[in-house]
Amino acid sequence: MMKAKLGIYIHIPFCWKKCDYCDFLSFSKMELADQYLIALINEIKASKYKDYIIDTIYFGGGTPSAIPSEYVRKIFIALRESFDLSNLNEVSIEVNPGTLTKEKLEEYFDIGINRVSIGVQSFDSNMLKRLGRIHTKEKVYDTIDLIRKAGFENYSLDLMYGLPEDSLERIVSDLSEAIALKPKHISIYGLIIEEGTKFEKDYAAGKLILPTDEDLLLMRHHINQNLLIAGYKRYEISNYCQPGFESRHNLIYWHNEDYLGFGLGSTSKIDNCRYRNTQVLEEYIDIENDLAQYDLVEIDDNMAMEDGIILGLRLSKGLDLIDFATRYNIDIREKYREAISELEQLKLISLEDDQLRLTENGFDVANYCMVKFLS
Amino acid sequence: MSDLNNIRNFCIIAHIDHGKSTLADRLIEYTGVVEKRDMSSQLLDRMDLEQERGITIKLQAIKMKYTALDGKDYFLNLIDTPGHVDFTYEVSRSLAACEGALLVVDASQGIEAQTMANVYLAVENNLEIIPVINKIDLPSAEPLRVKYEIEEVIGLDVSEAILTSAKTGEGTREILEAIIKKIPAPVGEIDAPLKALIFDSNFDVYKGALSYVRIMDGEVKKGMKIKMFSTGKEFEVTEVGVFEPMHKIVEKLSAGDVGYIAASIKKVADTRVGDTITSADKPAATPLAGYKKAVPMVYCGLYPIDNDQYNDLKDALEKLQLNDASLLFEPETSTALGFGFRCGFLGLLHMEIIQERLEREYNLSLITTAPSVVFKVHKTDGSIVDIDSPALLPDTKFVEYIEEPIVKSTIMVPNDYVGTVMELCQDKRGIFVNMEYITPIRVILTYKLPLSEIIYDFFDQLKSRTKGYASLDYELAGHEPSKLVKLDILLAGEVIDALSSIVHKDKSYYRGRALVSKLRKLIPKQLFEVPIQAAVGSKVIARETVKAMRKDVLEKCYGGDISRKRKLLEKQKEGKKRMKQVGRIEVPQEAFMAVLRIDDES
Repeated sequence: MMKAKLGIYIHIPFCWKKCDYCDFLSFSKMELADQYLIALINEIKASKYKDYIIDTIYFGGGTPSAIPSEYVRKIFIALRESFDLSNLNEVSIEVNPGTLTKEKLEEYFDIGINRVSIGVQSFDSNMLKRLGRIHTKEKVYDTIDLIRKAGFENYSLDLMYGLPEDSLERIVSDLSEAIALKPKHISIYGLIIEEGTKFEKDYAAGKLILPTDEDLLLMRHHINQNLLIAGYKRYEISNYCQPGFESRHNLIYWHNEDYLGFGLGSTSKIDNCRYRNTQVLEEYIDIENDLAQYDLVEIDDNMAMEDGIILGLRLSKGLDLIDFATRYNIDIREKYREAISELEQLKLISLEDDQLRLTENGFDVANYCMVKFLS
Repeated sequence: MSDLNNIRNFCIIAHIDHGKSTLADRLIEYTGVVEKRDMSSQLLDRMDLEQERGITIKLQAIKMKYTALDGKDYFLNLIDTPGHVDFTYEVSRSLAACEGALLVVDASQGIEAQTMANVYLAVENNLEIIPVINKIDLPSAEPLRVKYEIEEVIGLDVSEAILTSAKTGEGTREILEAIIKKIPAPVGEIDAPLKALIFDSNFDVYKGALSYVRIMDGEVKKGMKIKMFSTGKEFEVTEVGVFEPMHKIVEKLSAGDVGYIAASIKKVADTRVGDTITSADKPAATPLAGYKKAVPMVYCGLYPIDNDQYNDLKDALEKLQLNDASLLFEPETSTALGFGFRCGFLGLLHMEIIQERLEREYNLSLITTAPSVVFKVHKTDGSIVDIDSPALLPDTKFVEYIEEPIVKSTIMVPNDYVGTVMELCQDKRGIFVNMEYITPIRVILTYKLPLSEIIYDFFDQLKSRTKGYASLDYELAGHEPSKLVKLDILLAGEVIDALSSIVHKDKSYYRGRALVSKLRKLIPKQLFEVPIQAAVGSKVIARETVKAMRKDVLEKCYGGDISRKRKLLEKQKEGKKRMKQVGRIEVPQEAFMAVLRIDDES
């Protein structure tokens, strides 16, 4: 039997300081990193899915670069001992410019990491402060210099827009600085005011002035245009890259393929199931505990198909309907005739050459479109 | 078998919250019909909705056995009465089946308008009334003041009024003794031909339509052939029984008894409330005096959000009608909402209850259009048509004039609020009739008011402006000509028939503006701009715009966590399920009732 391919996600839930807008699962309790490492390696070794060929590994967080690089090495060794890594195509790590050294980067390179995703967020030092980031603009430049010198060619920049008192000028300026650094990949996320964040409190207190929907739309359209001219195509709602440099790991998600998540709060999708690890750090590091699967969902045929649609429509190339029909045994055109025809008339979706995809206008109201495919 | 002298039939008259159901429970408990552990609190209010809202909607009856201080056993039939103005009609039904009534008044609240109306009904029916002053355990209780009020307002002798606390059980035995001593035993002749008054009916899937009856003369038992006086239809009795409170089969029901008759009657219509049942073989010569048929005062449209639920809605309405003869419905078509039903109700509460039961018990998602009263439209050709839906109002060029229903309303209020209430009545086009001080601090105001104003927001306003101290009762007092116009609402240039309303001309401008502004807040952004206009005839009197939705996208990477993305989209989908697609526009349920709530934020 041919072994199936799999992506692996490793969660490092530590940050030196939490940013004011962030609601991801992360803590500044660095003193627990040792115990965490032990629990994480235990979890990897106990995996019952060792018969898979691993295609990608992704260290995310939190801030994976917040912990010593030898920890990353130990995790990687554990993975190598547990899984077949002989066909590994991409190993990514998320880094914060405020946490990197030459040595760390050299060790990453040595381990076999071949892609670095840099949380820049902005090139405007005032804005960085406003966001509660620990680094300055200068630090970003130094970091990228180090990354290049350590031998990495494939790196990605994360930027944000729709920030407090944001302007088109600031975004265009951020973009030109980003483009000048010639990254292979750029992600640009819109700010979301999330529950439980400092931003939420500030927003409720009227202290944050955010752009209107109309402003945001204009900003996104400028982003698309500027990046396109610079040679970056938008391949997903928030992601852009030079040809061939899509995030292979993230494509696994968007293609609704299987992946395993290790670490606090990580989700996995495998064997027609989704589940997540505990989100309580103390529970996770208590190795006396057997790891429980939370929010376990058995994915039935219909859910698999719907997931396939709402994920696939996030991609610019959309869904390959022939491929889709084989995989989910369903003719989308038939099943969603009404929805597709309605969205087509509104010019939000296009159906050409067996490819169903959202148009640029469709991306702006992607939720509206996707909801039409949910039962 | 019980001797007539050992039977007492009675009901309880009380305002909402004055403790009627709790008192009934105490009586039931004391006489031991129901084991204490089997008592859900407020046994008589059986529907979930009744218990939640603390009101009685549907009549219930119960038979209790009580050994009195004189050593004899008595059978007491309690017939419950609803306490809300919408159900006055049902009250009159239970009164006709009794010889006496307990008048329960809250010791701190005093008499309310609704209670007064029901007591008068009881007096008209020659019932013996026993005043009971409840909740004397409350620190704010003023039994003396309340006694004085009862004496002044209703003219009852309160020297032997019973002080009680249904909560603690104090006074329960005194009440039972008073029932025996003061309420006359029923009179009737067991040997005479059967005469049974149907005071309610209920549909049982296995036994068919059950007639709830008070036997006036004669007796009825299994196997007997009975005849309905009004229709002449005959049935064979399959079972007779009493309420304990669950149905208990008995051998026969005789004069003076209260119970039910099952006779394989397929349609509730064949056991019409108020009708007399007699023997088919030995019929009585004349029927008992019945009641007037309940006339719906309020109409609204009920539409399924999902057109596929039309037949489910029809089935559900038919089922509800089996036990609620006052609910009327007929098919109606709206250009905006598709196929639905025009439904008639006794009042707003009745309407809300039916709507809630349809949604809860039958799992339907419904659009309710704003309630309307029945207008009499005098046309230029001399004909008169009854219009219960704004959409059906004929073109103005065919209309000579329109009459609207008027009610005579009685408002009881502390004197501090007289000014406020008068102002409100004035505002609602009321005409002052009378003002009377029942005590130095309590006043009865009588006004003639348009029914449409009452169902609009009068009651809410009355309650809020008097901090809940005012109580209201009203009765229909004919129709009167009025300057009425049809107010249309246009969404994206199209008249939405389901949003039209008939309003007084002088108020049309204000209502139009307020409604448009309310709708602007209720209608979510669509992919395109939606102008909302209010118009009288062809004249647009107000306009606002719902801006187009420009952006609706999740621009964030939650890693592989699709659950989070799904939850967001599913929530959005849920929201859509509460929307009605009207042409290209998605309109939320609440929008169709917005006309009632435009004053909320002003």
